[in-house]
Amino acid sequence: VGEPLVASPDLETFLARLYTDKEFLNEFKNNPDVIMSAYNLSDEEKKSVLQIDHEELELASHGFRKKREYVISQVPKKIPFWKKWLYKFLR
Amino acid sequence: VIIDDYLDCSAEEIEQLRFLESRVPLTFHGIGLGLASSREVNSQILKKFSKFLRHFPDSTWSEHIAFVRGDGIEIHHLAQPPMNLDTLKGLKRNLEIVFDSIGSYPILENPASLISPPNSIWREEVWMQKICEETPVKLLLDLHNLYANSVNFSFDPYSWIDSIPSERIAAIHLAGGKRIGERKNKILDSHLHPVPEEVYQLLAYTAKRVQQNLDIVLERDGKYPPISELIQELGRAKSICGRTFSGIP
Repeated sequence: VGEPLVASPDLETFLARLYTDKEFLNEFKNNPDVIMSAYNLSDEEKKSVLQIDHEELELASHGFRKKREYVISQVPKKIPFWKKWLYKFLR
Repeated sequence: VIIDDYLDCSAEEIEQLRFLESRVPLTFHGIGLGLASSREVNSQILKKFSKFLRHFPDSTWSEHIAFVRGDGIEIHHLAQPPMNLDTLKGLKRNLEIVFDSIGSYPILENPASLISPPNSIWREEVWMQKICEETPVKLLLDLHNLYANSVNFSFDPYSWIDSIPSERIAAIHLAGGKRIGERKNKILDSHLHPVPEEVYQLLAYTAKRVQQNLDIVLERDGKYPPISELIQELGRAKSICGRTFSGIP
């Protein structure tokens, strides 16, 4: 607790993008070293990412993308102030 | 009640929930804190959680052992984190931040996963043991998540249950999923299907190990069957647990 954590935040950022961005996932599959070089990953982290089972990665990222699309579609659009006021007034 | 659905709610909606709480037991469930992360929990979201939960001081609440974002990228779902020391330290730190803000620790739920998190040094059961050793939290045991992960990553779910202190188990989630993948060798925790037989067996095994009462929640997010089928599923859970059942549909 309280100690600086150096390596993992970049791995989480990398994984968050890998799980949610289809184009990024395809680029990673074609050229993993180039894609990983943009992130501050340790050698251990790079090695572990290269060992990801591609079938698992496809299934997981597909699931994450579907869920993400659904959640984003459910976010209610912000109602403008004047509409709220008009609604209260008419009520 | 999914806390995240009420983060920007009106006073009227809070009143509606309080009215409901006065009549039926409510349990509050968070998704968006991302506690199992080497990043600090998002302070704006935490502030909203805290503001919401202050309206329900007598209720328990839960969150997941998951990360949900990385530097500006919202996953909008629960990702199993790298099971290593850095994440454990991050989880401990985030639990303390949450405690300082909300005044209580969440009950922590084991997430389902289709992918083995890279850079993990521990198997899931060891990871759960470490969390129990290093933090004071109670556990929400999601038996379908456990079952799904045991199939997806080929481990023994009974040994997993044996490895965690039974007195830490405060609640149980039951749900169903479906087989996916070319070889149908993976289970997706969809919450759209009936509770499978294997999950009832895990419930029976867990119920024998615990002495305390458990809150049991049947999760269903869509493709709703007739209510009689859901009541039948709860009834089966009730008969398995006997006296330990307190049943929240």
